[in-house]
Amino acid sequence: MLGYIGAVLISLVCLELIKLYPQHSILEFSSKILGTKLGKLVNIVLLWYAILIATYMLEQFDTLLTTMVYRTTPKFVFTIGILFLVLYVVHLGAEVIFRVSDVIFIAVVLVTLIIGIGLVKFLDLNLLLPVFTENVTNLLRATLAPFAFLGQIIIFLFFHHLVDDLSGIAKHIQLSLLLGMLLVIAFVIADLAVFGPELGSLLLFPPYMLIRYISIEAILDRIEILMLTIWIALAFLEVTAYFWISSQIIIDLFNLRSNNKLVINIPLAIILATLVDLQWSGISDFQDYSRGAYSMFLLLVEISIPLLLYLVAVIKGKLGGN
Amino acid sequence: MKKKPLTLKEKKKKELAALKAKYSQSQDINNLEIDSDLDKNLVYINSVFDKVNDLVIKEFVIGSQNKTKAGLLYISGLVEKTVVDTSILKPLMVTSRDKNIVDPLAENDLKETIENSLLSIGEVSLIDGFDDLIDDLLAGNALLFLNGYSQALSLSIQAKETRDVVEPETETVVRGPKEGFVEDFNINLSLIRRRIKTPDLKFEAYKIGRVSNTDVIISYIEGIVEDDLITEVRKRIQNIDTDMINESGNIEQLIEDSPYSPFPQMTNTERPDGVASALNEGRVAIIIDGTPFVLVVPSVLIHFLQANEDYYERFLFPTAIRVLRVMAFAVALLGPSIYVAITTYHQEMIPTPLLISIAASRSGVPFPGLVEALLMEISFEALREAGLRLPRPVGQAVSIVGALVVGEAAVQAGLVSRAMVIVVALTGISSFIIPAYNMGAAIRLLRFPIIFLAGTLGMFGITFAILFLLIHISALRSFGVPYLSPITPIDLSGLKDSIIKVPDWLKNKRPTFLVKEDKKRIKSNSKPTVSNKQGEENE
Repeated sequence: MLGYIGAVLISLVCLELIKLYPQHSILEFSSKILGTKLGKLVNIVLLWYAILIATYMLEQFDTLLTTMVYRTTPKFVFTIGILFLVLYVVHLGAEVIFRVSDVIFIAVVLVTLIIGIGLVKFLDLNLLLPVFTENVTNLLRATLAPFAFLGQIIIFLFFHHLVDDLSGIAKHIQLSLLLGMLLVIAFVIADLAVFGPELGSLLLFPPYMLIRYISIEAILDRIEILMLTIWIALAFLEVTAYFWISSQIIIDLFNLRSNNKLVINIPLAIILATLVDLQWSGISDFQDYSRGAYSMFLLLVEISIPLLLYLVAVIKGKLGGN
Repeated sequence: MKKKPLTLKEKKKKELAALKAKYSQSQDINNLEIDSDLDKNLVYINSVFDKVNDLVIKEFVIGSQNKTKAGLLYISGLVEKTVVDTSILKPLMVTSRDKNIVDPLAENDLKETIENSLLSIGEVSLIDGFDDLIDDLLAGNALLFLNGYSQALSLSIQAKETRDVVEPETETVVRGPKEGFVEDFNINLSLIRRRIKTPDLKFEAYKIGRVSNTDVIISYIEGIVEDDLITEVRKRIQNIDTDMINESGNIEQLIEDSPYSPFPQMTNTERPDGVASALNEGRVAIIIDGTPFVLVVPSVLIHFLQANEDYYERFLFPTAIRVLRVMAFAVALLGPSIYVAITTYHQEMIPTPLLISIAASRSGVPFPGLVEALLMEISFEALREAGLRLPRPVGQAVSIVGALVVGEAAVQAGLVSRAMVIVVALTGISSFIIPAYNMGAAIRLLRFPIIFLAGTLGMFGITFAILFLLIHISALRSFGVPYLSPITPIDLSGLKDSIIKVPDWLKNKRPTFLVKEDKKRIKSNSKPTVSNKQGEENE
């Protein structure tokens, strides 16, 4: 809940920025607010943010597949597979990305409902107790990951200028945050109520482990493979969104105006694949990174950049600037 | 020695021979006007229709005292021969002798006399140029030339040899109209007109095909259809530059949005009621002469899963059937792939008793699941194709006997497992549940690469294929309308008639993905109500 409140505050700052610059993405208005050089610097930070999330998602997805299902298949097969799809959809444009995400969203909602119904008999609500911890540090540490996840709401700043009618954007942003929060809470409660706090906190892929419990009577056992398809779809969607953002930032940074976006996107895909391979030395390294530095870095960007841009824009406005 | 002067007849003969030589050598003999000399006109026609044996030229004389030479031309087989004999030749050759025909006649008098007094033909028109004349001749009209007149009479006497209006074999219904389109486009237009009795129903005619000169009609309801859509359809039809149009499929391939996509982007139907409903939704029909299949645009994915009968039953049954069709769509596309993926990579998904049963049926099968599935699918497709191409009684026998005998023999020989036979049969049946044949064909085609991916990468391969197809169809459009409408972009009025079908009294608006600003279709208070309960009146 604390993470959700933090994300709502970030979203309010983002909405103010959208009101100030409805026709421009963050890549354009960062330069308008901070000047060309500082604006480009902000865009470089955003590029690193986008690449980090994209590579993190790819690594998480590769790790899940190679540890849980395809133990003898090399990671790069899955990285290349997903990046191929990402290249295809990014090549077709933002409109297609939104349509694909619409359909995947429907599938995610349906699967979440199935998981919820299937898990009811395994839930032990006593494992949720005690609700409050006495250790505030633990509380804050536990808040980091959902806060960073929900804080990704800032990606609206990359897309809002593509929307024809911005009148309902505040409602949509808040609704998406609420849905995200409900999804996180549902999985956290299910995780705790099935595994308990000790085991639950150690798992790298709690939703995947949860679904292993579900069995459709005498027809299908261990339907985590179905969850895997949804996981792949979600990973694909997130990688796509951040790949598209990275591509847009590169075009903006270097003033590229090539009609053939593949000239930018293919090298970018190769860079991502290489980073996935080099960035983490193994699963334990990746797990450590997931629990600490990753969320911290995301939060740093998600909080500081919109706030900085908004404050400077307001101050400049009060000083009589444009 | 003095040269003997040529007689008038010889002079004429020489002149015509020179003219014939000129026409045969000249490249540009278009846009010629009709001459007042009948012989010259016939020489020209003979030059244009050189070695055309079905052209009939009948020369005769009209009148008894003041004789006028005349020529009747028509293409044998395209005209009604009885009409030629009884309504044209007999009145002109026999009856005209009794009439007081004065020679020379003013051209107006000639037309009036022949049209009003001699010929018993409904549609008669005057033609000045040879271009129009040739078009009329090839369209099945007869042409009447009169010596001394620089116009010809075009007599509309096309032979209407067409089959009866019967129920279409490809779209049979239990409840609903039993009439289907035929090959003659005029009959098809009348079948549509009988269902939409408003002057807003428009038929725009085009001639497409340099050789075939096929009549193509664009039909829509003015005031409902979007102007942008009709402009786009017109533009695409007018842009067609080809020599031959035989069937609606020829047009479809030349005007679709994404020619490389395996998914069809326009529906075709043989049913007038289906076309009428589509026109009333704001879609456009393209009617082509010579085929009973009418194209309807734009068509989105959901249209291929709907059947005409859905609209004639109460809403619950069509909704259940549509859900069944969506499931069949998924099974037809993914059935064998999921079987291959589970048996090859994810055996843990199957409960132990079922796993033992499947393992027992697979024991002794020398091929991996992938090869087994491909073998069976290819055999199934071969049998289906053979059943279609062979004469109907033989074809049915081949399909049934092939499926039973070959399947049983393959299992007995240990080449394939029983479970695989069941999966392939189920997949085959599912693909036939999809009402649109072209969509079923697309699914059958896509099944093979997905089986291959499932055999090499398991569920990841299947998910990869699903995502690839999802991206592809998300980018597809049919005449500018997104293929996944009304699901995305979401359109509530369209969703009322998509996978689910709401009662008719709730469908108060046309889908906004087809018609942006719409008048109400049905009064908002059209929900059926009971004015008084049975028996209350008597109390």
